[in-house]
Amino acid sequence: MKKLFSLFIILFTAMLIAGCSEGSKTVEIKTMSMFGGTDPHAETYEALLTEFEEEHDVVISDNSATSDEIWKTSVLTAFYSGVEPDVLFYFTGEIAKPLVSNDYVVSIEEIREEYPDFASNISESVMDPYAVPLKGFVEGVFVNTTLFTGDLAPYLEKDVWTWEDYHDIAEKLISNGKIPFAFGATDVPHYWIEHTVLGMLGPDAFADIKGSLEANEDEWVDALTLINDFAELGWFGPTNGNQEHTLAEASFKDGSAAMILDGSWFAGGFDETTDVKASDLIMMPFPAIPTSEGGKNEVYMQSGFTSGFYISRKAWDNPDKRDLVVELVESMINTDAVKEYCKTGGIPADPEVQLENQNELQISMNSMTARTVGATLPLSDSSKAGTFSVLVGGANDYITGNEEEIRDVLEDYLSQQ
Amino acid sequence: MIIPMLAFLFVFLFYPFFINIKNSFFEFDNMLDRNPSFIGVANYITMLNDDTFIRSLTNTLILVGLVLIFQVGISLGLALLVNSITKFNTFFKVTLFMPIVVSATALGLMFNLFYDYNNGMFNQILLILGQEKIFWKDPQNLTRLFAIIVSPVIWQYIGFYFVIFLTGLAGLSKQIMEASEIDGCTGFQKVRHIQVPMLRNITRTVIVLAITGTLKVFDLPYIISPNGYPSGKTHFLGTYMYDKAFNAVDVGYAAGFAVFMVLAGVLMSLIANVVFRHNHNL
Repeated sequence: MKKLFSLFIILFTAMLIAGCSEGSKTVEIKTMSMFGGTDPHAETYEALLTEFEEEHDVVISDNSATSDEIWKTSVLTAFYSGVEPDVLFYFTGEIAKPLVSNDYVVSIEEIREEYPDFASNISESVMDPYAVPLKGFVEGVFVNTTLFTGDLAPYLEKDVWTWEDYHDIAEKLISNGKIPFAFGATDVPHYWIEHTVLGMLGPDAFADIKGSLEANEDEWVDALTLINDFAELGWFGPTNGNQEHTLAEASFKDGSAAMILDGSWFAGGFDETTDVKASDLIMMPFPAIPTSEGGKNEVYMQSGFTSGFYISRKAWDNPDKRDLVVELVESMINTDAVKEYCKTGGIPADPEVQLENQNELQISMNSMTARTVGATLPLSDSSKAGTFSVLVGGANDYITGNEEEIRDVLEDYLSQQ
Repeated sequence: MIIPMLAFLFVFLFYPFFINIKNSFFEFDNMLDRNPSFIGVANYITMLNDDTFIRSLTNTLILVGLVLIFQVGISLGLALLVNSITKFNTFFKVTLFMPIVVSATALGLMFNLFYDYNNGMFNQILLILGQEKIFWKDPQNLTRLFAIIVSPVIWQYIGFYFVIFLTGLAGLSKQIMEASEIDGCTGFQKVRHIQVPMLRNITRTVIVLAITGTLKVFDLPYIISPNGYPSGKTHFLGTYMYDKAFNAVDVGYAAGFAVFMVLAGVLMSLIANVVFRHNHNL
């Protein structure tokens, strides 16, 4: 009886498999992106996938998640173990090097040999050799303008705040019982590390990290020690920035902190229904560090297009999938799609996109280029993969101004470049 | 039945472990490096000279000690107390077991909110009591920082060992207990001379589980003190291994770490087994 039952199960399974494989010709396209969970772009991304699925005879298996270190690694291991997505939205630069060097993804040039109009709406100046970008980001100081009342109000008339302005603003905010800057050094000290180094040494230091560190280690130490100066002035509140980034964000969102240094993606968390309204926010550039402090006295910003859509080699080599994946990427990056994605902020990669009904925050983010003398990719993107974590690990040393420890951190970082 | 289980173990445990041992002798350029360089035991030598590794090992060993004293101790005490009562027995079992059901990540985030300087529950309580707020996660006060990281770790698994001890107590011979009562044994004497000694084999199991569980502790410390903040001083073996594997992308070094953790777990379990030798008469 048991043998008969086992035979029945085997036959049933075999018939099921045979039925599935013969009866259906639908192609399955696997996608992966960082537009998952609470990401502000998730809604747009999912709607576009559904639309594509409805218009084509395909089944899309999407495996998106919000980006963190585990997700970044899971993407790489998916390629390594042969279960890679056909279309991927991922970072460019150092982190994507394993994908490029192992020929896991197809270059734009190769795609255009067969599809000459591929991504033709995207500005060539921002195009990555392997990934089609959607929008760029800018980093700067988000300012809650509702806290700039009385003698702080005149500052809102200015396009750029000087070093002295920032000090005066911080002093006045402290006397008003507010925290000048929300800062979460425990897990995200990145922005402060990058902006102090950028202000002190300029974008050339990011282009040649090794050379800059070997020649100007003292300036790097001075840059990072500025964080200690700010902490001692009380800029980061009673915790001195020794808290998680989520708590720092919360203090900005509930109005107890007046400013936060972050990227344009941070704007996605605000609209007209949030406690701090999007229309009450502006972005200001990080101040020029005067020469008296050892800086360049020039206002720089971090910005760029550091993510985009990739097509995997495996999908490209599959004749059943090639057209579909190209079409899918096109549907994700056409002018309408880019416009939709840019509603949460950011610089469109498509120059045809005209952003309408922009609030104060979006207008000020888009005007950052005009208010700075130069822009560069973040130091974390310029550093050799995995090495920026060394600088992150020293966050508390910058806050306490422990010069000996800072030098150790920098030497460790240098040795890995 | 055994063969599929063995196959499963081989595919998901032994094979990755052997690959891991192999990887520990290589240096990887990146996570997908197909041609890593053979460097012999260099990763292990680096490990022994790595201050943060020594710190994470020390922290883990201290935590093992604290777990054995408090987690195992408190769970045994609670099991003895609950075993001695007849009313609300189920209530205590469910309540004490509850933290196990909640994910460690959720617990970590919850404790982060409790410890928050501005609006955290602990500081709100202090304010109600007319006390000054405390900066619980002050990196300058490493002892307190360490204490607030390990407290939830210890607390979470008390219920787990409590249930094991309680099951052990329920299995003790009723005749012996009744005989001790007839002989005039007091409650404390019963605990000291009958129940605790007769739980020896259970205690041994609990200790081995507690040691191996603590050696790989990760989620709660990682959430409460990311990156071993400050400067890696609150890293444990699990969190530092993760940091090396995923933040520093040092695959070979992290693999060496994993091998060390397994060996340390086996060694400590063996020591526990020798100290609490199995008594076949119980």
